[in-house]
Amino acid sequence: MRRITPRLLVFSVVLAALALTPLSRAAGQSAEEIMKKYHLIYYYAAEDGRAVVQMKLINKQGKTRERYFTMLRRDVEEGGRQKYFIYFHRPGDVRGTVFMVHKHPGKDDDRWLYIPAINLTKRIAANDKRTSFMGSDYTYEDVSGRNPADDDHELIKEEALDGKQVYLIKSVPKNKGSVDFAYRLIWIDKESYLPLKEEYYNSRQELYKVFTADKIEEIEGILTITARTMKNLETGHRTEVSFESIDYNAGLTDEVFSKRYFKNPPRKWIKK
Amino acid sequence: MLNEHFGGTYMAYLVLTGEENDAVKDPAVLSYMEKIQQRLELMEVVGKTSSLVDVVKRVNYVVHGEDGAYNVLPSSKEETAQYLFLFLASADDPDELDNYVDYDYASANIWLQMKKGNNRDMQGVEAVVREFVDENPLPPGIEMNWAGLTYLNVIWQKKMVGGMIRALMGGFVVVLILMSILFRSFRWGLVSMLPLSFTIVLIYGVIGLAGKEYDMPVAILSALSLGLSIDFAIHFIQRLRGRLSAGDGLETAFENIFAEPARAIFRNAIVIAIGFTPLLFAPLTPYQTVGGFLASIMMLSAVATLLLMPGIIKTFSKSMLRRFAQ
Repeated sequence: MRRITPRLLVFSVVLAALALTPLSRAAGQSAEEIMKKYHLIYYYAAEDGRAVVQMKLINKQGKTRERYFTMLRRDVEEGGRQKYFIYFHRPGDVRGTVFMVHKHPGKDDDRWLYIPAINLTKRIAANDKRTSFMGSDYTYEDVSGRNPADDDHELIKEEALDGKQVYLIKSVPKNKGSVDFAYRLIWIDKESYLPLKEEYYNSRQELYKVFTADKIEEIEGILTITARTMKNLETGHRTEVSFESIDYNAGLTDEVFSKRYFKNPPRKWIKK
Repeated sequence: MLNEHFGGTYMAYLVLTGEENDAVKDPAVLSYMEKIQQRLELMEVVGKTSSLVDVVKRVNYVVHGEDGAYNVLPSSKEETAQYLFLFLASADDPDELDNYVDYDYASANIWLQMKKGNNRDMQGVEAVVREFVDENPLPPGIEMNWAGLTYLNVIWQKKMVGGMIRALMGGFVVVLILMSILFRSFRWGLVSMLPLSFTIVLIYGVIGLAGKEYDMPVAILSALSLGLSIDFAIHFIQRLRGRLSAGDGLETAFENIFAEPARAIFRNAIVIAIGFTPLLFAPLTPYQTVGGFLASIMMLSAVATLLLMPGIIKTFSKSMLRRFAQ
């Protein structure tokens, strides 16, 4: 029988320690790195983007409210400041309404709503990013992206979801009081870094909101979620969103994202 | 949600329903709702009213820099829709309007906060609304109906009270028939109904004079007094007829009856009456009603049995005693 030398002992301990370190190390990427990559790919695809969006708000009884709008996005800085210009086509009685957001990570966004019937622009309070986006089950943060630095991330495991290899990451908000969820589980596709599924849990550890990516298509070489659903399990309310006429790098200039274009939105990108 | 806003007060609401989606965004419908609310708020018994009208007016006022001149309804459907859109865009909760309007904007509610849960108040409000609609026809394609617990109470009350009155009348007839069979005489049957008729009529009279409603507790009391009073009457008549059959004259029979059975009847009444008085100190009005009236029922029917009934028997003794007069 061989003697256990001190060197062998040290070697064994190191080996054991390596085996017990979190998966993140073993995978070569930390949960933070995965989340940063996901954030850039999901919310900052290309330099800018245009899409015609159909948003269906469906209540527990199955009754539907529809919103149909053109959304323009321009990234001022990759992973940082962003501008959104949203022009509503339907419902017919709100046609011409414009919603504009200037997103400033780390501080409150600027939001404006243009009311065409009285030709008036109204600034909207933006101190809470977790409130509903336009009466939907999405929050403003769900639409424009939650800063990965706001949460602590942990890679729970790597697994297969619907035939795709995914990272399962648990995110816990650093500032608990400011957020509606206690923690979130997110399944990120290893290939595209797009979210395939998200689950939101409240402080009683109960699942109350679920996001699913329902359709992924390649558009101009970029993998894009073109249909997605957010469902609130507490209220039975859900929001289905689908994207058409997507155009990346549409050449949107910074001046488009100003109040001057509220009354007459740029024809080039927005068809009335 | 509502209890948060209205502190658990008595709510009723009017529902206006249109044939098409977005019907309630129509300025004509909203201004009609506004007028009804103004009329209702003139009533003493109505506290506050609220509806989509208040939301739209509020948004108009706020977007115009809180200028009082804009605390009015907008003149176009588009303007209304855009204000509601703005309201939802800045609301915390996507269901914020659900208490006022359905998902399709086809129907809207007007909430009424009643100062009391009183059925009479609610009936008054109903009458005022009926009159209003007669004078101001509803906008075309719009229907208006009542809903809410306070209103349901009125409906329930009407059905319940109607049913109770019928049941009481039916009960009266059945008891009369039973008594006539028991005493094998319609006359004696009729006399045995005296204490309960006297008691019920008197109690209803007092209820009417006191301005109290004929409600559930009172309805139950009527049924109870029917049972309790007839008990005394049977006891009294059975004993009296026993003495008469034994050959006593009316005077002697009365003397015997008033010695012992009458005392038993009176004590019985007093014991039960006192037994119910603690209810007078109960925290809920219906309990107080039951306690107070049950005590009075016992006393009244005992008095009617021991004073009124003998008096009537004596007055009509010729025909009453024919069978015993050998």
